[in-house]
Amino acid sequence: MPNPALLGTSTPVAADEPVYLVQDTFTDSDGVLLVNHTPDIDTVGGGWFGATQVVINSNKAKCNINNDLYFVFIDPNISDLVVKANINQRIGIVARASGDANLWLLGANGATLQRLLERTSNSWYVRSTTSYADVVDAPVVFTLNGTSITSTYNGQAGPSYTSSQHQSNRDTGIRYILTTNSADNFTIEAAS
Amino acid sequence: MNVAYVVTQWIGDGSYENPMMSELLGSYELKTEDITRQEASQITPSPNAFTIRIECDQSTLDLIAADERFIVLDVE
Repeated sequence: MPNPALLGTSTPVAADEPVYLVQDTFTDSDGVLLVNHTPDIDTVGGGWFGATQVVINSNKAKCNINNDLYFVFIDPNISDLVVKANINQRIGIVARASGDANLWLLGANGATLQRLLERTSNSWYVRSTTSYADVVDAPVVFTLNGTSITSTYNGQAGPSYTSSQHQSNRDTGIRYILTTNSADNFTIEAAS
Repeated sequence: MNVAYVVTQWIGDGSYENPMMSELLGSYELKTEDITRQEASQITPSPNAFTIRIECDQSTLDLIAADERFIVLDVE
């Protein structure tokens, strides 16, 4: 099956270059709602959807309300994928979501633990953890390929797990809980 | 670094603030993975027990082994 990112173009792509299904540097005017913002690359074309509390701020995606859970999603049209972003503080990367009641979340609990949580029928289950130290704008990589779920935070191995739960769900995105949370350089590519 | 397999129990109410997790995580913050892989619909099992794989230093492992709430099954 042809990669959807290549449909409609004759430009060859080098074998070692990532083919992004979604890419967003969140370059836009301050205050623009993420759901009204156009990503740099969005092969499906549906754009961001979900919480209207997430806005562009200094070319990053931030939440403008504290102390509740807010989710924004985008559909990459696949469920075996690699999500990358630069994140601050307790932001979470969400994958294999169907609404916000069934999903996988990679995110920190505060200052000490990086956690991989399964959310099924609105209940949260901590499936794997690693200790970590928060780093400003740290690169995070969340890979879901078949039943394998792995992650890295700032280049160090993060929580991992094996599960077929929610395996066919496609919605992918960001979880916010604090106004200090921000995300930048968000990409989705197919897992190999 | 030690790799050990520990029987623990689920605690929590499933909310984001108090998610279902290993009781061991309530006392020790370290690298863990649920290797029983029970489906969410089967949590909490009866009896309430499951096995996690942990990675920790020797002093932490000694504390866990001496803690009556946990059973260390094996150490690699």
